[in-house]
Amino acid sequence: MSAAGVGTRLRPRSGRAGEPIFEVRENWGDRRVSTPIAGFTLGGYQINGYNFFIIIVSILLLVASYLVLRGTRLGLVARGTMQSADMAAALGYSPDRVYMTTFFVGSALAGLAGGVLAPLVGLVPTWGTLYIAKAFITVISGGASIVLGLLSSATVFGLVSQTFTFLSGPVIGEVALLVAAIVLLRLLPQGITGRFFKGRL
Amino acid sequence: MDRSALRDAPWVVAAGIIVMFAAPLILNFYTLTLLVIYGMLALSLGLIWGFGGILCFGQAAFYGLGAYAYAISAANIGESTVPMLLAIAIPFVFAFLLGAMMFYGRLTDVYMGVITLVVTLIFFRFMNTTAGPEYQIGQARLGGYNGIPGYQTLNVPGDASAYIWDESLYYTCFVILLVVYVLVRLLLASPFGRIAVAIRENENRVELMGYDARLRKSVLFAIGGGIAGLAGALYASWAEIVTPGLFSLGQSAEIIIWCIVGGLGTLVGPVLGAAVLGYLKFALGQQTAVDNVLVMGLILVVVVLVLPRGVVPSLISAFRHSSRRREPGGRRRRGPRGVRADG
Repeated sequence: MSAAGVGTRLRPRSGRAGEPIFEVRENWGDRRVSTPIAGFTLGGYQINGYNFFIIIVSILLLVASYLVLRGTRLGLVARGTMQSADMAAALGYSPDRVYMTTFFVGSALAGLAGGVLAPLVGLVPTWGTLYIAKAFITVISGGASIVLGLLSSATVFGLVSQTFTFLSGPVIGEVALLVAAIVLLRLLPQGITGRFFKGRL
Repeated sequence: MDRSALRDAPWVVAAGIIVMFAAPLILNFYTLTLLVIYGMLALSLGLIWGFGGILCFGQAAFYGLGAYAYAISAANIGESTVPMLLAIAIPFVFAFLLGAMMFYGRLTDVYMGVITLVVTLIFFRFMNTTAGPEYQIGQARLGGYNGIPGYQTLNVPGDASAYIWDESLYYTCFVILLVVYVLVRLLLASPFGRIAVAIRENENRVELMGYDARLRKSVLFAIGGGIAGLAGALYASWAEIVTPGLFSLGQSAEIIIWCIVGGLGTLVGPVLGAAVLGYLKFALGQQTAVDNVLVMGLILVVVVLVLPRGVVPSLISAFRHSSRRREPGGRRRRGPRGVRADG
């Protein structure tokens, strides 16, 4: 997290999981911090090293959360509570405590996302609001499966958005993403994993 | 027609008229008009969320649509009667189509929330890009981020030079708000309204009884859209400019906060919530010691924790509780129910 540069401070903000955490830069005098990892060339293209780093971090996090949810007792209890809180309570797990823990983890992940993304964007205190709607839309469109749903919806929306951005500019790209979300939810009212990959994690 | 549901309405209207004449003693007309418009906007969401159980994250879309419909048509026509009607009709039709798409697609709570949110965002993004001269409807340029200024504001129907503004605009808005309130009360007391509440309570059961819940929800949603559009048109007339900010996420969130703080399942609650929080925002905006948004957030958190049903329903049940104790033989009435926390 020190990647964001000297003189920064992370301030967690309570909110829903998936909401990014704001990073407040205290030292307003020193605002130009270059991205911490140098780029490299591949054939005729220049690749930004830090963007590459973000991709790797996301993949690692996704795999890690899949493994935790799938393989550990903690993940089992969390999934069980999500499916049937009453049943989990009957088996001796406090749903409140489980929700609290998952909320902690979600907030921590959101914080990490904010920290990792911070070097790429101009930070202002209201920066996080840009991502609330998109995060919300992506998660809901994914459907019931946590990891697969997120993966599929993020892939669909990312592809649509970037394709249209490439073809006709960022605003159209953004609008295309939003229209895609409407069409997708109209066709699959339970999200992507409500029909495909049903019952998988 | 359920007459018992209308029992409170005359008292509310009477109280409203008193407030209408008392409020100018404290505040200026300019601010008050805005508060009344906010009240009408909150009323529209209070109707569809509190009574129809439809959580709409995008009430600002209809509000902004009404404002833009008014501004564009007023700039072309130059007289405010037809634009006013258009500003109700266009959001009404749009909300009906959007609602039909969602309800006939059997979308439920959170998915519906996403769709309404997304529609608002699309409007916001699109309107922000319409700066070029090619975006022109008749004589009105959409103007992108700068919005549309300089159109005909509200006038006495038939006489384009008799502007309604400042003091008279305030009284006009307030009277319209009271009329809308009475109409909504009548709607809720009618069979249509009672079935709408039944759909909120248990949609499956209502459908098994043979009612078409999808059509009824679409119509209720459209009525909410129409009221929001009317509020938007009055706003356009008050502000004399419309900008894409009307469609912003913050605007949508604010409407929801008004309803939560004021209290769902009542009509007065959201209106009061909007007026009080709107005034607070205005008052806080005049000082620099505390950040406005911070205080708003704190108020929301405190209200949700302390009065989860909202201020007005809590006050009503507290009042009924104490009056029952004073006269043991008094009528027993059930307090209005808020929607479920997860709905």
